[in-house]
Amino acid sequence: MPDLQVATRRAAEVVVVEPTGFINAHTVAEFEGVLNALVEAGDVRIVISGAHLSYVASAGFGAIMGLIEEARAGGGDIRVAALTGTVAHIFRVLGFDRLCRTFETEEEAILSFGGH
Amino acid sequence: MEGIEPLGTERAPLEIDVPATCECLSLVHEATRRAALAEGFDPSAADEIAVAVGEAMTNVVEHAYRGEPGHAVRLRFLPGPDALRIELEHRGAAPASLPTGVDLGRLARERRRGGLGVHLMRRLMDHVVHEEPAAGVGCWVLERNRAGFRPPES
Repeated sequence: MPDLQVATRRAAEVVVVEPTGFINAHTVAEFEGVLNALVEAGDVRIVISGAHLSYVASAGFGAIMGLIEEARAGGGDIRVAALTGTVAHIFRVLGFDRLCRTFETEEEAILSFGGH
Repeated sequence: MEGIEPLGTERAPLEIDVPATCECLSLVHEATRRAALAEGFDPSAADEIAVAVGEAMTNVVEHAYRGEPGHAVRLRFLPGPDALRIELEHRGAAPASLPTGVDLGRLARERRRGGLGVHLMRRLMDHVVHEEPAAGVGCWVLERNRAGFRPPES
């Protein structure tokens, strides 16, 4: 099994990005490439589902940080859902809960874009 | 690579020499996690220690060696009575200075994708420094206190 697989799927005008595995400086290019392609294509309403992540290093959070203002400038946002365990803890200790909206479930995150 | 005398340990340190490449990050993560578990840290703490050590390894690969191939990192686990100390010794460039904090909003506005590693190390560990114990030798030193240990007030 590869270290990281990144699946995407659409839910109305929202794109759900679902990485499985771990994100570090070695695997981040795969994750960042998917996010970059979405934002460049104008798919700027993005939910990252963290349910299948074992850990995320700073490189993974940096990928979100580097694109979130681009998504917002395009009328969208990058929101995060279903973080668990160490990933959720690191998200908080880095202060990302002040930069990026988070939701308990993917469904809540998708619905949060209802009125954009 | 010349060794550095371990300080204040009860047992012999475990040392691993690892190629300084991003491909080895997952190996370092897993070795660190298992070492922390073997030292009695709970799984959550072991995961955090492994992420912090991965950040130090990433810093060595990307900054000390600037991504150049053919270099190594000596990973050293030094269990002590109050803390687990982990050292990553290298022969690359030392960091000019370590950031004291981060402004995520500013980094995001500037579309920056880096600058979080040292901040994360410090948030996950109780002690993080970069030392230069000998000419041409750099060493990240990370310590995580054992549960219940409170360092003496200075």
